[in-house]
Amino acid sequence: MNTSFMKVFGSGMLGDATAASRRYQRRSMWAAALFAVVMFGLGGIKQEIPASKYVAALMPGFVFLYICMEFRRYMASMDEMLRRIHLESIAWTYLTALVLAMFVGGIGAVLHWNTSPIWFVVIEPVRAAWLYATARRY
Amino acid sequence: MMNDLRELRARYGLSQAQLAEILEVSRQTVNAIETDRYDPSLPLAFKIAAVFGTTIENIFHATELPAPAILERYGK
Repeated sequence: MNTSFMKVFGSGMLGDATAASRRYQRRSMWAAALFAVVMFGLGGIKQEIPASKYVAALMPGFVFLYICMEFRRYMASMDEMLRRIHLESIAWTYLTALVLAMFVGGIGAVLHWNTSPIWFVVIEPVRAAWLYATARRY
Repeated sequence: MMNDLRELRARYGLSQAQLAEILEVSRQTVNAIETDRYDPSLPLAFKIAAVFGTTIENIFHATELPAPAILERYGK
């Protein structure tokens, strides 16, 4: 499948210009923007309003739950080949993440790194890279 | 698996985009099938055959089939 690396890397999608893909892109970008605004905003007021720490604690989980639900809807709209490419790239990403997690976990345990699971989000560019690589085979 | 989809499509004067619309798949999927990079699912293969009013065997050709000797092993 002929697709541009920058397009896949920038959006985590294959550049399919369907109504469903645009809806997913638009909604996930709004969710990510809201997430960034709220988290940065909370950074300044956490000391004054103690209850805001609960919002900060739950916000990342709920935002990504919403994005994942939207992604599921987007996947349901795909035809069989596009869905296969996405599922293959997710499978490869899972295996890559497993290896990386073992390396980071092992080295971190020895060197006493204080790593937070929130950094798991950096696996998203890895998925985009696998998506691009998988799409090239079709 | 090889196929004659490109020839069939040309015979009916359809573009990849038009065939994709009829089959309710993306143009990329039609292109990948034509270039033998993607084997369609059985429902899609049936749909393609139905569109051109023919059978799956007339469009898709297996490159490797089990030799009769394999069936003999099972006493068939």
